[in-house]
Amino acid sequence: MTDHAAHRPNVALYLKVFGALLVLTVATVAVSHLDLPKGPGIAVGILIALVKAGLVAAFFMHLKGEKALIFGLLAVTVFFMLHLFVLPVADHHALQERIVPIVPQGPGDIGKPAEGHH
Amino acid sequence: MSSGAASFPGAFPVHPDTHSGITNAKLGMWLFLASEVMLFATLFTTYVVLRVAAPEWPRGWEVLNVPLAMANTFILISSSVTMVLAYAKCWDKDLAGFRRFMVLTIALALAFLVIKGFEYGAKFEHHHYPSTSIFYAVYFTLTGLHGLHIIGGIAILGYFLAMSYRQDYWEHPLFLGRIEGTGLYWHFVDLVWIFLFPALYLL
Repeated sequence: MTDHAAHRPNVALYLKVFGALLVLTVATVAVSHLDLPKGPGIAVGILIALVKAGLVAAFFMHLKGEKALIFGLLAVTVFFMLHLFVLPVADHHALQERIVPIVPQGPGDIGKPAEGHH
Repeated sequence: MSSGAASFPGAFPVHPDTHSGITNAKLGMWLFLASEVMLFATLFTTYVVLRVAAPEWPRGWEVLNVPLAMANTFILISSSVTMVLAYAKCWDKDLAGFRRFMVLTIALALAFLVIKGFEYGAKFEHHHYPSTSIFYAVYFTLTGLHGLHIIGGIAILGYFLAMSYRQDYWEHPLFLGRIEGTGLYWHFVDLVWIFLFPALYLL
């Protein structure tokens, strides 16, 4: 018989996931109409998107029941992706303090901070 | 014990790599998808940084066509379903069923592009281009790169649909793995849109 490293398909399950994805898509748009404040609005939107992504990844991409090596690869990817998200904005507090108004400075003032800032 | 030795000259038995239990093709595809995750994550981060730093930024629905994008979301999710059903038919060695679902997947992908075309066309008609503003630069870059991935996916899907008309190719023991790999890529393209849609249109 064929030696399947591939995953046995489960059509009934795929159709159920399809239904769930359709419902979640409607939910995504419905939530956007709720006029939530920015923070919670973004959080809920991302949360629903993560659930949809999880369903696609687990069942359509056959991650559920996949070998550990693939999970290891994805864990490394997610690890670096989180760094990619965080690093550009990690020092935004420090940047806020360093914003100085542009003050005309003579040649001897190079390196001196603007007036009123240390 | 060779698995599924095909009938044409030069055929070879297929075993998954016994060390990892995963074929090279599948591992290779996941590695490629990992790199694609980094690519789109970079663009998403760029979007976040630019938006947070901008003095003002429109809400998605004020500027973009949400109903069209929602239709596109349904279309792409449906294409993911037809793709995985094509895989199921390939597993069952149901050639007609396989072709039917591949054609459906391609048709849905083309429908996505057509709707995208209407969206872009409307923008261009109003003289909104990537150079118009940072918002439009972000919008066109993210959706444009995603659209290129759709086009590439259509090419791959079309290739395997065409190859299924060759008996030796259809009966090749590696064919199922190729369809599974194609499915992985296609589901990834769907995944990116699942994040793009709320990020651009609903926030």
